[in-house]
Amino acid sequence: MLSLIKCELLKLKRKKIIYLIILSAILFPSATALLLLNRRASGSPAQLYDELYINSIGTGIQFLLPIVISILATILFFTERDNDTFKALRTVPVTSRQLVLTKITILFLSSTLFALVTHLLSMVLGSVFFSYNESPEYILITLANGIFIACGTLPLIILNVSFSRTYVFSILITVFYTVLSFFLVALSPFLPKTVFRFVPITSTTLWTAGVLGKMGKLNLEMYEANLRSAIPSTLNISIYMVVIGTVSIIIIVKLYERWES
Amino acid sequence: MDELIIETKGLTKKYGEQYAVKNVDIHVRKNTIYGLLGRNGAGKTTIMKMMLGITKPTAGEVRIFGKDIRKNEKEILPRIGNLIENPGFYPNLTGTENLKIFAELRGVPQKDAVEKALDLVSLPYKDKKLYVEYSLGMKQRLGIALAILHDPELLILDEPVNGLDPIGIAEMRKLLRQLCDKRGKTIVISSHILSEIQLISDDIGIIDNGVLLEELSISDLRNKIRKSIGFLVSDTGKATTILENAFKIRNYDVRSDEKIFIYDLNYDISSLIKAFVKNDIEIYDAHVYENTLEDYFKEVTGGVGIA
Repeated sequence: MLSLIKCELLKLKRKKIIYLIILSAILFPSATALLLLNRRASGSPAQLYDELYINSIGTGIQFLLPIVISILATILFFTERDNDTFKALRTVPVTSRQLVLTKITILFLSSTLFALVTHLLSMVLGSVFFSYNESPEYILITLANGIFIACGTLPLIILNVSFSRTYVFSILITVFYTVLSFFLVALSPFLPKTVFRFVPITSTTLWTAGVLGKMGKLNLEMYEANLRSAIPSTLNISIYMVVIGTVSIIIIVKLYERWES
Repeated sequence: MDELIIETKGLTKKYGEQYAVKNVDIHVRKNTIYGLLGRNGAGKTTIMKMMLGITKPTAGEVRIFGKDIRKNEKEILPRIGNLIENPGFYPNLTGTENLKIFAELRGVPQKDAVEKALDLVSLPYKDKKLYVEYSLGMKQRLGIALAILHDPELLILDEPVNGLDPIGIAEMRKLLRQLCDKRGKTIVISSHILSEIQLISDDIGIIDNGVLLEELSISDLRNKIRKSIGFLVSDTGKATTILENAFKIRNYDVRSDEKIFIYDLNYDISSLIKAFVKNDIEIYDAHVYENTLEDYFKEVTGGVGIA
């Protein structure tokens, strides 16, 4: 498994899109830091530090990460098809199951890494521009977000693999999904509670808000009542993500096996 | 009987109602080169894919090293090197990087395995050229390097000289022959190029429309396609006595009361005629027959030529 992971990473060498992904991790924390610098007066340096962190999670991870994961997944899953390398792997022998599980592992690793980079950057920028005010819970929130977002993006990868279309198709569908997830929050008065619980990204956003609210870092009053009541408990969202992740992985493995045979 | 490295029994592959491969029994002897000869679309690639377990046979089985490939993939595949159709590699990597990936996956312990494999196919090690910039011939060489990377006992190569220039073809032939003769490998190659198969193989299987029409050794084939001298004489009995006693020719064939074919070409036609005439044998016709592999292929496949 370790050499499979190593080889998957080697295959990404010189892919320009990878540099773009790394660059995109820097985008939101930096932009938010600049915005906050301009309204320094709106809060104490410690509050600004928190605000930078919360915004970085909301935009850099919850909005951007699904798109990044989906692009990465498309690259990983289409590589063998595009380069006709499957037969060479198959005769090593590497089974399609091993291959697809490796690719999914890489998605989870990258998702976590991306979340950590976002976190680290907001930490550095927050300390430099404002003042260091890290809570010990933050790192756990970041890691959970990285993992939840990866789980929440897997259903989209099912679509990508089953339609096995082009890169453009996968990127478009993910952008649509992410924007829709955010849009749902705005539509909260008109939608039943279950919708927020079942759309993984929305659910992750609400869970994060709930945890931050309990820590006193976020005023939950800004959320409408219907939305507030939809905030999942940590146990609930963990179980839900494990279920979504497992079911998606099983379907992706089956589809990929059929696709490559 | 030589030890068989590959043996297929009633190997069949059907796509819908169409037979791609039908009831094929192939026998590949240890330490030989087996040439699978057939037109494009005859079923060569499908057979090779079934040998490697990539394609599932509709019926029949493939036994490699005495074991059913489909049940023993994990054990058998690491002992085989292969090149099926066009080689597939990652375009954003160099040849060396591509091979390193497969060396890692195959768990090749020797550190210099990649360098050695590239050297054998005359490709530079640690070259900066990306696979996407490779010429057709270089891609093909890299494909062969991948096949021999882990020093397998058996090589299954589908059209290995595809895209190589004439010098490259000759080099490849030499390389494969060396691998077989000096390093004890067993090799199966396929080709639609008759001369290529004839030059390199020890055994040949002729396949057409998914059916293995004939399987024979190169020496049998040489006998069959050999140039011969055909005589139409009044008394074949007398003629054969002369051939055996005066010329020590035993390699002849009496086809009917009058027809006799001589495959031993050490004597020219005029000295044979002189001897016959001297012994009162009447000669109605004398002819030197030139049979090419292509003629033979046509004869076996019962159709038009291969090209």
